[in-house]
Amino acid sequence: MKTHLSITEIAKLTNKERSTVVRWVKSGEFGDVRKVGNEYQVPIDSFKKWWDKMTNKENPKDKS
Amino acid sequence: MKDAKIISFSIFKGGTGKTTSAVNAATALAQMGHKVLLVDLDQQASATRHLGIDPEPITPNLYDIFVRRSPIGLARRKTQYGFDLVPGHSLLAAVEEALEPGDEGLFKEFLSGIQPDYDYILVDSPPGKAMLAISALTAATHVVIPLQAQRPALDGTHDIFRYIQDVVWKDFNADLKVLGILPTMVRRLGGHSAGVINKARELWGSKVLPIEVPETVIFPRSFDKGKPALVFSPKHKSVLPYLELAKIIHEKT
Repeated sequence: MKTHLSITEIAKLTNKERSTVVRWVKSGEFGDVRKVGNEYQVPIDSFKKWWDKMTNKENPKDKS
Repeated sequence: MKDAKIISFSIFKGGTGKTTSAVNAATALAQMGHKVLLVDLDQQASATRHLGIDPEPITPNLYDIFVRRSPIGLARRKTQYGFDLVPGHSLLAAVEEALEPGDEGLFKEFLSGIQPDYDYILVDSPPGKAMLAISALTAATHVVIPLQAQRPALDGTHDIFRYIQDVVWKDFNADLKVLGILPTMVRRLGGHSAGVINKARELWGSKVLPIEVPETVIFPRSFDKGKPALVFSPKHKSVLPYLELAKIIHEKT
């Protein structure tokens, strides 16, 4: 298992543009991230916390 | 005590009846008195919703299991239909991204911890030739391939057969047995169903199970009601093939 997700992977998971995810990263949405070369990497646990926060905020209805 | 047989409902194509088949087979096996666990490995969590359970607030979930924050035993819950469920979750999409080549056996390893607790563990596999779907085939002792008995479906069946022969048996799970191909969404009148099933029998012989699940509104309706069709409409003749499937699972595994 990877411990970090790339910007591209998060963009795919959230259905957003890479530029949007980069903006989130820079504004600290995911807390501390690491940078490998030119690429930001978000700890998978931070992504999960953020995801949980988002889904609770949206209070999603059953999508079935 | 014997370890549970692990039966994966797998085909890379979507919408062929994996979830309906897994949910109703689990219900039928439980009604026969077996100890059954259903694992919903799909990020859409359709099997979980099919049982009237909202997957999202549930924790710990399969994500926590894959990042090893929780043992799988804590993620299972009882359903009102006589079997246990490990619910699906949208975060399985993140798990799919995080799994790397070499991680195909992780799911099998997690299941082994609770395998002695059950007679049968049924896995509703996600569609797509991706890591979680391959993890299900790696963990399984047997696979059921739901064949949507409409025209282009033979390609999908051919595809997963080739994959099992060329990749799964070679690299991940030499012991995996194909329990059978299950014709689903069979139209009695008109359409191509009879032709598709005949062609499937030509190609795969007795691997095509001697049962046919018809296309009927009972299945989507039971999904909307959050109940297995076998509970929602137990007397309807369209659901009887799942009792037959449960018998075959019991006899042939």
